[in-house]
Parts: sequence; structure tokens; C-alpha cells
Amino acid sequence: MSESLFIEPGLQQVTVWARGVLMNKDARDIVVGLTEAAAKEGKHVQAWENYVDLPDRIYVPVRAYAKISTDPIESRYVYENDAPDVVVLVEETMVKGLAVLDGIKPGAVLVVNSRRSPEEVRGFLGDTSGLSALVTVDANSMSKALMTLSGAEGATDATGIGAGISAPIAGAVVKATGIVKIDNLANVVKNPDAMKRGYNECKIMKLEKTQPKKIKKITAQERLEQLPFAGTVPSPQVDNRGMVTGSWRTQRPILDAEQCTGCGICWIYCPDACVTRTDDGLVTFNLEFCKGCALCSSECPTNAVTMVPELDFKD
Amino acid sequence: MGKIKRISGCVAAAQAVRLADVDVISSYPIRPYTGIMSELARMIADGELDAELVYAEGEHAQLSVVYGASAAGARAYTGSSGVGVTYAMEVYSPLSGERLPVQMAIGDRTLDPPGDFGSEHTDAECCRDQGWIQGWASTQQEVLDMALIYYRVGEDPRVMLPQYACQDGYYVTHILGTVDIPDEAQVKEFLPPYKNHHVLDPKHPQIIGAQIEPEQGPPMQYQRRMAIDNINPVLIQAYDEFGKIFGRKYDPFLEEYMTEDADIVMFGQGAHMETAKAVAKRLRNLGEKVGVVRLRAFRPFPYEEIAKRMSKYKAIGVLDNSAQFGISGGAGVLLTELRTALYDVGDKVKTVGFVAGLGGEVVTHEEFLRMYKKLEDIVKTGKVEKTRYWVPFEL
Amino acid sequence: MSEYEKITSVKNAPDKEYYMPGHRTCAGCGPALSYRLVAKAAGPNTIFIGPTGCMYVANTSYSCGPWAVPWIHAQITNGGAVASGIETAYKTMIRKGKYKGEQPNVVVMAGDGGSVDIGLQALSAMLYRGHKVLFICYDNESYANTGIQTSPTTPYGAWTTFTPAGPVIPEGKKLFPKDNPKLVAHGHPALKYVATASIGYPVDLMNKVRKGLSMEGPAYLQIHATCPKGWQFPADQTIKMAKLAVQTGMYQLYEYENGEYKLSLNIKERKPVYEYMKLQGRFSHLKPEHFEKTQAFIDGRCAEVGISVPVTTES
Repeated sequence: MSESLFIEPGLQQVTVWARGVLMNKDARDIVVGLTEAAAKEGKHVQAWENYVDLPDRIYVPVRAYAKISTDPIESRYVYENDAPDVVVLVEETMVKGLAVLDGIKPGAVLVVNSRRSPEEVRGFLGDTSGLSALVTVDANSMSKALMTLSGAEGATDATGIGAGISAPIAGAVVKATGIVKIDNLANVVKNPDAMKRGYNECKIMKLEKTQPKKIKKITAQERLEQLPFAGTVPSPQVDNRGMVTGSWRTQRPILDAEQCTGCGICWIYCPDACVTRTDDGLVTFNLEFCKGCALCSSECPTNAVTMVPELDFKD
Repeated sequence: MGKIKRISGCVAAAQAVRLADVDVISSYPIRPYTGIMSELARMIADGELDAELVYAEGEHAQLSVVYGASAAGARAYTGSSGVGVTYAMEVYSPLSGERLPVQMAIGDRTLDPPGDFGSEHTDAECCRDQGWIQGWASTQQEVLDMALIYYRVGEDPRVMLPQYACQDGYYVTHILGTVDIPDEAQVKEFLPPYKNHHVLDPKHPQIIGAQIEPEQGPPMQYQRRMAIDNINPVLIQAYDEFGKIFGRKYDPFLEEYMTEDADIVMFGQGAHMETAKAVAKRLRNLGEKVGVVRLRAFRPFPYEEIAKRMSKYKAIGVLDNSAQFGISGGAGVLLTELRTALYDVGDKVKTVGFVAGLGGEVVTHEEFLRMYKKLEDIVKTGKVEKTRYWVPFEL
Repeated sequence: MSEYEKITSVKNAPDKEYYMPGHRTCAGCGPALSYRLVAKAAGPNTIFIGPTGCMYVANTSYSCGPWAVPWIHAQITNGGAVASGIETAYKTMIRKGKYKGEQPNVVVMAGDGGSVDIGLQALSAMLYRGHKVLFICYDNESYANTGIQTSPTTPYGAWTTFTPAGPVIPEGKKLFPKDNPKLVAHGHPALKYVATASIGYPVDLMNKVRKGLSMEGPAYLQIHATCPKGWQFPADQTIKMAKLAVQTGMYQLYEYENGEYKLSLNIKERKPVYEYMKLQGRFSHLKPEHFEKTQAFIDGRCAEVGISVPVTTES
């Protein structure tokens, strides 16, 4: 009953996922670009980043949000969008192992920055119920991701909005959803040409109407019952299950056993202890935790480790 | 049965530390509590106490040292006064939240500016929301007794929280009073060894104090709240055991003096209430139905006890020996919290605040007399014209 | 100083990890690697103190941690004081028979802010009182956890969110950095050992950890831990950047013992600092005069510790 009391019918929610440090500025630009354009149309808007995802770390999943409404926004001071109409993935491997579709509204649209087809991308998502369309846009061929620390933590971004891959991705969002007028967005972003390319060249795959899966949330009482004394936890002896990081990876290390001399340099330099020296003088990689930083590959003196895009692997 | 000596509040505190077999002490000098540390240093040098004294570089560091020591499993002690107490503010919440039951003696003192060694409750009262046990002793004997009781309650497995053992600067810290110093055997019977639920020990490795997300905030705070809720029942039990072992009985919350048929009482904490008792006794000799209620437990504030036991009075004068500028009611924290406790009886009990003794000035017999007279006027007229009087300017 | 087992090479370095996979640090994080190496060298009879900073927040997000040994949070202000309390507690409890076991290694892992700036007072007092504690500063040259702000070890000319470059302040950071190893080395009579290390030289780093722990009193180790997020270079360049810092003299590797400086490397040539600085986005706004100023400053730092080889001038 109380759920229906608080529905905001004129409200659209956009949730953008990106990789920390390297793409969080572009994630921010997408939500700021869309809301600035919507504001020109007289809409009520709010754009923000997920405070708990910050400080962002290189490759960690981070989120940015937009609310665009015909009415004054009532759900202003929340951490996340609870029911996105649009989900955007700024980096393609985020279709693997992340709960990007949790809580979507029935009929939501997913936009993914990828050179792959929507069909291929869909294969990684698992349960796509609730989505009405899946869109891919090869934004990296139209622009480059912008990295800057300016604009972080609520300060002004001195580099402006929409010069990077945010422009073509936002263009694809507009093409697939019509959430704002493309001309208004063009006036807001610094790279309108890239924006137009994203608008024109994105690939849209329509899906059948289905109901999204229900997400069960843990209650405060359950948290209290599970809370150890003062939050103190035993020290892990194998790995830390509280922060499994394999889903950070955009590329995977592959060993060429012929070239490997067992020198151990990749092993000593892995910050995440994800390299194990084996008895046969080689190494194995812990893919449950490997973040794909590529230090192993970069430091290997015999070029025995190469980095391969993560989506080339089905597992 | 122990030894009877005439000692200062500082020495009484140090005696309690010796009897409690404290392991680690951190010191930093500031008047008027410094004597506690000097006494402990002398005891260590003379072989009366086996403990380590760490010369911290400041009060913030003092609290940080005992944080580490307590987490490692040692019984730890520290203390301060005045701006030293407020300088260490950052570390109080971690000590409470990480459930480290250290004891901090506060020989209270006014806050700067300007520099003033005199006693006020202001410094210690600034810490009242940090999740510690807190109370004032008004005699040198009580200083020693409360220190032992606070370790007993703070280290109880149902509580596991740090304690501020407060005493009025100069009046209690420096003046000599008669103290019965217990035997080690009695203390051993009363105070078990310190054993926390978590500890820094390579034999049982644990991670203490991990970063949380906002959703974990309410459970973490509620868990601590449940520990705070356990303080009063354990306090009652501890005082009961104390009475049986040492022969001195204390009401854990409120000491009532000549209150049986009193219409009017003075309410407050610490040394000045001893003066109030003397004035009340004189007024009783003149036939006035007056008494004194001395608050012994400041945190947790015993609002349920107060509602139960103090609703019968016609008027209560609250002595606030502190400067809490801008506070509701215009006096100090004791007036505000007493009024909240008596909210349900509303206008039936007239309450008024008296801010007195600021800067360490003596609260005189004459000033108490004027307070009692004011309360009598209020009972006669049934009207409270002002909620607070700053003595001596407004009364 | 008691005996300690020297590690002779990467190949012979011990396999056992005490800093396990699973922490929310950046992919390619220099400080995370330093933690892994320190923990590996220190072994199981160790208690870590973690003042607030990247190595607190990133490692314990959320309600967990990667250390196989005991660890406790400290404030950014008081790492040295908390460590003093722990060391004193064990000393006392062992003497009084309240603890049956050996005095554990007590190791502080503090960032540059927690060592040189807000944490300096507590560090100095700990060294003065002579506690048997190894205080390690992982120096990533900024307040990184709060999104990269200037600290006293941030180099002259570095862009941070508090020292952005602009027309009024073309160099960004105007102040030259503090030199904490030297600051603490001269004036603490109970201090037994001071050394600098770099994640680019892991065997040297681990041996310095063991040497510091073998001292009968306090030791200070400052580790150059390169930071791809804060300094703006790709995550897979973390080690190359660390080595280049040493090869240009921007970071000097030495030990200070018994009143003498002992260099850890035999540096045959010293590359110009420009070779190092040009690879990092935080210096991309600088002009030739700024590089010259840095070179002069570094020449002075090198001379202080006895690095006498002059800078190789470019042809």
C-alpha cells in the first residue's frame, strides 16, 4: 500500500555503471549531460554519483545517476536509483558478474558501450527479464575516455562536460529512449559530432515484454543479528570473501608456458597475490580475484604473459 | 578492613589504580589532575605498582595509547583536565565503539579562554554523548570507590565500555579527605581480571575496526546501544557487591539527603552538593522541609529513577556548575535533562536552574540559601518567572 | 639487533602470504603491493596498526579485511601512539605473567599524511620513547583516499585537487616536499634504524622490513609506493614508475644507521627528472623552468645522502 503512495509517475531514472578512475568522469558526464539537456526542456532534474562507491579505485565498478521528472523530484536524498528506466554500461565487461539489472522497471532499456552486437552482449547478462531493448554503441571508436580528477567529490569539473566517450553513449541513450531532445543534448556536450555518431550508429535490439525478477533485500534486523561483536571479524587465512574482485577485470592474463622461465617476477609484483608459483616452475593466476591490472604482463621479461579481453571468454 | 589515611582525591585515584593492578598508564601534565600521574609515577619507581607509564605527547595521544593497550588485552588508565579533555575528543568515540573499557580520570576544570585552573563540570560534560559511563565523586573516598566500581562495570562482558571517573578540580583533587583504602584481597574478590571479547593477539588473529557502508551504521550503533542499556543493571549489581565486600553502601544513581518529607530539594552533582547538604541541615534546624538529591550517575542519565523518585517534590533547584551557552532552558545540561526526565509530571514539579561556581569560584552557603529562598517563593506563588539564574548576577 | 633471515632473491623469497587476495584497492596499487611485501617479510607473529588512509578504507571495505594476522584501525592522527600502547601492553603483560608468548612484531602502516603531516607528532613521540615498533610510511605523495589532495610529500609542481594548475598558479604546487626520513633520523636518540625502500626493489624492501623488526627499539621505514590514480599513469606502469623514480634520483634508496648514510644501490648514471615526470599526468602542465627547479632540488637531495654521480644530460 505504501509503495503505491510514493510512486512518482513523471520520474525517469538513469543509472550509469563505469570503471573507476578511468571512466568515472564519463559516467558523470552522461548523467550531467542528460539532466542539463532535460533542464532546458523545463524538466526537474537531479544528477549525482554513488557516494559509497567513492573514493573510486582503478577498475572498480562505480555508479552515477540521473533523475528526470515532469514534477518536482520527491525522492531526492537517496544513495541510489531504486528503479532505473535506463541502465548504461560505460565499459563492456560490466555485463559479466555484476548485478546491473537489479531493480529495473519493466520495459527498461540497457545501453552498453561495446563494439560487439547486442546479441553477443546479451549472452553474458543471464536473466534479462524486464528489459525492452538492448543497445550497443562502439563509443571507443568515436571518442576517447577522459581521465581527470577535476570535478570529483562535488567540486566543479574544469574540463567541461561531454568531451569523451560520454557524448556518443549519451547520444545512443537518446536514440533508444527519447529521454531528451537530441538538439538540446548537442548544445550541452563539448563533442556534439561524437554524440551524433553515437545517436546514428548505435545498434538497438528490441526484446519481448517480460517482468523483471524480484530482488530480495536484507533487513536491518537481519544485519543486526549477523553483526559480530563490534564488527570484529576473524583474519582470513586464504582470501577475503568480503571483497571478491574478479569482476573488476576488463582483460585476463594468459600464460604462454613455452616462454615462461619461472623467474617469479610476475609473482612478486602482483599487488593482489593472484599469482601462484607452481611446482613445475610455472605460474597460475587466481581469476576469482585478479583485477586485470596487467603488471604481470608488463613486467614479464620474456613476454610470457599476454592480456586478452575478458569478454573473449565465456566463463 | 583497610587502612585509614587522609589523602587527596588525586592520591585516592592512584590508590584505586594500584589496587586494580592496571598494566598500562599514559600521562600528560595539566592541572588539576596531574597529581594522579605524579603519584602513579612515584608508586612505580618505589615498587608499589607494577605498570608501564607512557609519557604521551599530548592528551589526544594519551587516549590513543590506552586504545592500543586495551585492544592488546591490558587494563589501561589515563586522565586529564580542561582543554586536555577536549583536545582528545577525536578518540573518545573510537574507544567506546571499539568497546575498549579504559578508565579516564577527569579532574574537571574550566575551558579556555581564558586560562583558569578553577573547577567546572564543563570540560567533562562536553564528552557526554561519546558513549562512555560517567559520574562525579564528591569526596576523596568516593573517588577511590568509584574507580574500582567503574572498572568492574566497564569490563563486565555485558557492557565492555570505557568510563570517565570525574572529580571536582581542587576541591576534591587537592584537598585531603579521610579515605579507607581497601586490601588487595578485597579488591581481588570484587574485580575480576580484564578479558575482552576481541583482542589483538597473533594466536587468534582478528581484524578490529573495518570500514563500513552506511547500511551497517544502524546495526553497529544499535549493538552499542544495547550495551549501554546493560550498564544500569550491572551498576546496581556492582554497587550491591561492593557494599557487601567493602562495607560502604551507595545508591547507584541518587544520593538522597533529608528528602523523606521534603517539599524542596537542590539537585546537582559533585563537591558543591556537600555544601548544599550543610545548608539543608541548617534550614532543617529552622523547620524548613528541604533536602538534597546528589546525582551520582551522569551517563547513562538515570531518567527513569528520577521520574520515579523525584516527582514527589514541589520544587527542585538544579545546580549547574557549567557553561553550556545557548542550551534549552538557559542554565546547563543538568536542568535540561532533569526537566526531560520529569516531563510527564509537567507543571506539578517546579524546576529552576542555578548556574554557579563558574571559573572555580566557591559556591557559598549564602548562595545556596538564596537558591532555597527562591524555590520557596516559587512554591508559595506557584509561578516560575525565569527558568534560570546565573549566580551571583541574577540571584 | 637480533638475527634475521635475509631474503636473497625473488626466487628464494618465501611463498607464504599474509596479505591475502580480496581488497578494494586500485588495480595496480603501489601501496597494496607494499603491504603484501611487508606482511610477507614480517610473518605471522605480527600486529598491524592501520591509520585512516587508502590502506585502511580500501582494504577494509566493507566490514572485512585481507590480513591473515591481527590488525586494528587507528585514527590518521595517532598511529604512533596506538602502536606505543600495544607494544607497551605486551611488554607489561609478558613481564607480569598475564600473557604467555613472545613479544609480537608491532608494525604501523601509515600513509604520508599519517606519517609526515597530521601523524607526525605521534610518530616523533613514539621514536623518542623508544618503543620496539616498526613505523612504515607508504609514501604515495598525496592524501589519496580523499581523492588526491596535497600532502607534505607531494612533489613541487604536482597537480592535486588542492593544488590545481591555473593562470594564477602555473606550477600547481608551489611548496617543496618534506624529507621525513631525515627529519626523524636526526634528533631521536632512541631511534635505531631509518631506511627508504621502493616497491620497484622488492627484495631490498623485504630485507629492510626484517632488519627494522630485528632492532631492539624503534625503526622507521619509508616506502615509495607509486600511485597510478593520483599521479595519472596507466595501472600496468606501477613498477616501471617506481624504478624510474630511483633511477632519476627523485627517490633515494638508503639506510641510516649509527650516524651514517649507506646507499642501497650502486647508481652508475642518473637520468634527468624530466624522463620520470613526463610520464605522469600530474606534471603535464609544467614548463621547462619548473623541471629545472625540480632538477636542482633533487640534485641537492642526492648530494645529501652521497649520490655523487651527476645527471646524464640528454644529447
